[in-house]
Amino acid sequence: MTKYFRITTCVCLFAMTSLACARLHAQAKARDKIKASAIKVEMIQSDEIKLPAEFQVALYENLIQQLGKKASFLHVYRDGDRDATNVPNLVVLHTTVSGFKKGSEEMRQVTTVAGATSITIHCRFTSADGKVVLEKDVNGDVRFFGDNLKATYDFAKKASAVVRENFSTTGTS
Amino acid sequence: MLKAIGVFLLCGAALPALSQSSPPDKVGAVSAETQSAPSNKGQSSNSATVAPQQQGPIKSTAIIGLDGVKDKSAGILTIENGKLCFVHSGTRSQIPAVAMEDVVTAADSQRVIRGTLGTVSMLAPYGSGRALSMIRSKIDSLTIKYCDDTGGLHGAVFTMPARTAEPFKQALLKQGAHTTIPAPATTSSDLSPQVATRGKQ
Repeated sequence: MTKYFRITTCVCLFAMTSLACARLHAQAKARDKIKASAIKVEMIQSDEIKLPAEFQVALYENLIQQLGKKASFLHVYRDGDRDATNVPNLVVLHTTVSGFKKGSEEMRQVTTVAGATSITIHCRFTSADGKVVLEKDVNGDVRFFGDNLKATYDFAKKASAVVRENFSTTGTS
Repeated sequence: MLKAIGVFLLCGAALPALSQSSPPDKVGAVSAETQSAPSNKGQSSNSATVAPQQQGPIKSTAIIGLDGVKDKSAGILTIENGKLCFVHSGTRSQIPAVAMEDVVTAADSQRVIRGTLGTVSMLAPYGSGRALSMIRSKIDSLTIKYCDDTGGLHGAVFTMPARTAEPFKQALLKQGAHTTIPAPATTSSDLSPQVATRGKQ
């Protein structure tokens, strides 16, 4: 009987410790996140690397669409939007193309392994006063199926995941 | 048996694709007719002023960025009263030409057999599905950057039949749109023989 009581106590203690650790870890993670209530997306810059206009626009539009879906806790403003001027806890996303390789859709469909399109973009998140809060390189690519512009969709999904992981409305400012 | 399935798939895929490829040409012809009508009126005064005030309808696909329109929606693109209009299944989206900050055209190509049929045809045996990927049609893309009422920057990408984007861009520029890339030199040389032939007619 005593042995049974000991085992039960140990199991209960282990379960309580596991739950408490998970909760504390989640709280710590939430504290690590940066506080933001809105995000303003600047147009993709490509000064050094020549990026076709359709890629630039598709990157920008896909990014705004994906941020609206995956980081719905943030209000998304477009580049030049006058309504974003006096928003508190505004984060501005500056994006610069650091690598671009335009593949071939035909080559991908015929060979499967060749003709991949890839884009690498340096994402810089700043506060409204210009202070950098986060910097990260995000890439997007299309390797097997889909047209070349699908790489922009891939980038947008990954970039919005970065925003979701690093920003929250309750994080530290 | 596999060969028979392969031949069946190839025939099944190629026939609808060939029938689909003809309508854009017809639409292009309609647009060419509507373009030529005002130019005939203006021939006597000045042959350089060929671009009409209203661009004829062109069958187009809105790839991304048009408000209220799902991505990759097919529709009809026109220029009416200084606005770019995209009509898709009853809904009408308009962008004022004066709000356009940049209009850029580019040439591209796409698979003739695409969509679900294109995906199914990829499974055809002996690599015949892959061979079908080499049958491609040329298309033009029209990229537009424009501002909304609050100053927010938008972008839209359209695809249309080959050699139709540049006249469309020129028509938009005449309506007050801006561009960072001036018209290529080949466009004027391409247009001048058309003007000459119209003059003869």
